[in-house]
Amino acid sequence: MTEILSVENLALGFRTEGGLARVLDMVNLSVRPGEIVGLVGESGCGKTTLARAILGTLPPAITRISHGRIRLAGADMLAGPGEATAGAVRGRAVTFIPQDPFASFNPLFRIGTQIMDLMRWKSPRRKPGARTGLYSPRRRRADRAAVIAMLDAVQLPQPERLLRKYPHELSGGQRQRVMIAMALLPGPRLIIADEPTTALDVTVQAQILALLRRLATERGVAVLFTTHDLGAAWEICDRVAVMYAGQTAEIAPRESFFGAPRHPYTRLLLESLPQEGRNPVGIPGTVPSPRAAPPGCRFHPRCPRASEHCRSARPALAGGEGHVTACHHPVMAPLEAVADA
Amino acid sequence: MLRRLARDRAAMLGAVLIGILLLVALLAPVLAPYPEDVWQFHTPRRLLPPAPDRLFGTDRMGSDVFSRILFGARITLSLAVIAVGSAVLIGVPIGLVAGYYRNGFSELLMRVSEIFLAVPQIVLAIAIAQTLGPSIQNVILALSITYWPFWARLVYAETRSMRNEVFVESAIALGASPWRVMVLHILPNIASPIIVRTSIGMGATILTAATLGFLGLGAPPPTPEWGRMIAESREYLPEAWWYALAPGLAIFLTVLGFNLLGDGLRDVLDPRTRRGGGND
Amino acid sequence: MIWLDILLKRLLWVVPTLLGLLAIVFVLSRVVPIDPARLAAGDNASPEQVEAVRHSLGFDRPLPAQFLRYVTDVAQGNFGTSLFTQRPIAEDLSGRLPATLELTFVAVILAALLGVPLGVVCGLHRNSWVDHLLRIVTVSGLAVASFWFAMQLQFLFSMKLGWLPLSGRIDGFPPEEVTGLMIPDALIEGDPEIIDSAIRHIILPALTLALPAAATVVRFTRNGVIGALSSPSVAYQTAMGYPRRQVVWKYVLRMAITATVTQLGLIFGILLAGAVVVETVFDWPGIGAYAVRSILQSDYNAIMGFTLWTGVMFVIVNLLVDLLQAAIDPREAR
Repeated sequence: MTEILSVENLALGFRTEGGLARVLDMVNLSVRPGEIVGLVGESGCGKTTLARAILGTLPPAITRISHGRIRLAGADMLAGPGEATAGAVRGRAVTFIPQDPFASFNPLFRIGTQIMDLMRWKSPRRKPGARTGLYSPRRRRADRAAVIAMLDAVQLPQPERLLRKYPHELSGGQRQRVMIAMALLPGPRLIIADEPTTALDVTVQAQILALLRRLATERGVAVLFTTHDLGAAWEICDRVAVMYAGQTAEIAPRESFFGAPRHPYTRLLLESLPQEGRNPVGIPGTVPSPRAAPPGCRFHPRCPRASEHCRSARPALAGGEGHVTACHHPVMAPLEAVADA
Repeated sequence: MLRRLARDRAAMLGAVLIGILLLVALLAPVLAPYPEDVWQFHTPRRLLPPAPDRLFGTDRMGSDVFSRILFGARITLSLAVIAVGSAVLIGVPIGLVAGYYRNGFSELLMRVSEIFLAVPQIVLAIAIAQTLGPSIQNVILALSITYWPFWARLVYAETRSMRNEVFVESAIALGASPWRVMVLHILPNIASPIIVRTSIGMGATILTAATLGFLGLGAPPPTPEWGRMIAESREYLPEAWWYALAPGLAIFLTVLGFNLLGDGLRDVLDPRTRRGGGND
Repeated sequence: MIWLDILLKRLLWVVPTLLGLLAIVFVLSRVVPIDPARLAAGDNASPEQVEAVRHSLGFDRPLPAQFLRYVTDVAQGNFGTSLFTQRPIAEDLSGRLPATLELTFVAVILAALLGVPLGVVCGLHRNSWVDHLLRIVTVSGLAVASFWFAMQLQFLFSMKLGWLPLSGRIDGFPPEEVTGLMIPDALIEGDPEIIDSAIRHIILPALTLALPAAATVVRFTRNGVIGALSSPSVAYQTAMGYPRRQVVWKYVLRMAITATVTQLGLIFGILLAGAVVVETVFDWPGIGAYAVRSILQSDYNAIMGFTLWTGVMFVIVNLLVDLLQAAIDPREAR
């Protein structure tokens, strides 16, 4: 089965005043058509940077990509002046749901204007290869009907009226529903959702996640979903990838990820979840700065299983049956009583 | 922080210009080829064009323009420092008190400062300077009276937002006196915008002072004030083109120096407007 | 309703502010060492005549009473008589206001036409050579003494090249007064020579006046564009593949202009302050030159009239800015 997204050995950094910050170090990730992949890690582990790298929206002036490839729907997203290719893929084959639905709308334009401007360029009814912004009244009518139907599908009442509203007139949950609608409207094959529920009230979070999962599954759209919330990952993901300090630690299908995690970091992460009958355990130490990342496995200063080898050699992703771990000393025993979390 | 500033070439240029101005003001008697020309006339030598022995030519009294420019730096600099200094000394305490307390009195203080901002500063300054009579002291007085509201409003706004900071509230809760909180806790934390505002305010004040001199409201005639020199030169245009050139450039470079330094300081001290990209 | 709300809020603090302003100028006018009665009576007046004038002008009454009387008069539209032109001040000012408005209007247009596009270019190509060059130009534009710049323009374009007139508003007979604005009046009259003269006369003063305002507009627009470009909404649109052209020229530009509009009051302040000096240098018969002359001649009725009019103009401009902002920013129109 061909992958819709593949990230291979990606390494990139930002030029800062204190030197190069190696934010991503040999990251691997793939998403197959129709599946929902969770990208999990603590804040600052490089999740958002990876999402932006895939979309090609990192600030070019300070970004240095030293290694690796990103292929998205057959297009090479790092092919330098191939901006055109990436531009054609972006918003079409791959769409985006932002972290902050409050600030991600332009406050000065009506919701309808912002959606219809998207449809003008990214509607599935637009002829592939069209170069002009020509918008025939016929396509416009069809697009508008599709927009109304989609707003209905994301359970927003009175879609017609909503199109005439300004962003500040909507609640956070409503805005994120519009964002989901906009992500689905171009008929993408992959949606990148960057912590889509972090900015929302807890009560709304579950509704939005369930909605996203249902609509994506119905339409066969793949989702790459970044989050620091393991519970959310458990709710909606088919597979989960864990990142630590810019390195991929472990990738596994949901059941074996939560049931038999192999990477010591994953285990500590799961054990740090509050659970009945057990005191949550914190992970000692702190995430290293990308400017002064430790050599070898970046987790070794905090790892209970670390050996001399871990300090010098970077472990490669290894394993089978879709469960791969980047660790010299993986744990092979199942974790007790987590699967019913 | 100073290193950041040192790397900003524009700000460094500003600092260099101000440095030159300071040196010139201090060493005017040494640097000036004809220091006595500040007071003395040489009518036979009047309105001579620039030459190696009189770089910027001579004026209507036959005095060396270059020498007069150098001595003018003293007037400009002392005038701006004293005027802005007094405006800061009036404005900052008023802003602090008005921002710290929330009562009718602080409201009144801010309304009063608004009155001063309701017409262009130059108009008020001209009116005050004219009323008091032409002298350097009165120009300084006029400028400080018209410019203090800028600092008062700035400090007011900053103090207002500081008032809700945890460290200020805890200082109050621990029983620190209002005076102590204002001077030891709030003031150091709002120093950056005050410094930036002061540097840019120096430039504006020098321009206004020069305008007052140009309109004949500054020091009386023999004083080598730059604005007045330009006013004197008007009737000798177009023949004596050099006459206005030097004092105008002197004003320009001085104001430029303070503005560039102010800009650079703002970039370094105020993270909200800092240049350069960020991520995540 | 939002309009009415803004209007009322403004008016509520306008009256005390203007009263305070008048009080300041009034106090100034009474501490002045020059005796206004003697000034009004003329050089050859006998002491008795001076006293008579003093009494008839009310200068012999206590200060608060004088102030109260002045305020009552002003409330009825009577600003008193200029000690020099011997005409009602309201008449002097309203006769000269169109000249200032015309000059300011042309300067605003110049500042906007120069400032907004240049600011957008700087914001889009931040830290490029254009940006650095324009940073130097704008900082310089704000550092030049406008009276000196005006003189250099006069020297070059009038005295040396002879392309443009030295000063004044028109050569020869002015066109018949319809609007009070010289260029529209000339256009109405239709004489190409007068139109040409009117336009030539306004170029240098408008340019001088526009320089610091344009520099300010460039900086605000530049910062507005940079702020808009780094906003999450632009990041979202970029990630969704909206074409760059549309993001910049529709979404970013609107945000930048909205941010610049909030500063229009300040820009108007720069222009009005500039007009005082520029009109004096170019002998432009507006209220700025009138104010300088009144101040230099200690004509305090005229100064107070001017101050009040300026204050009112400030209020009107700020009100218009508020309304404009409510019109273009939906968040304001709650």
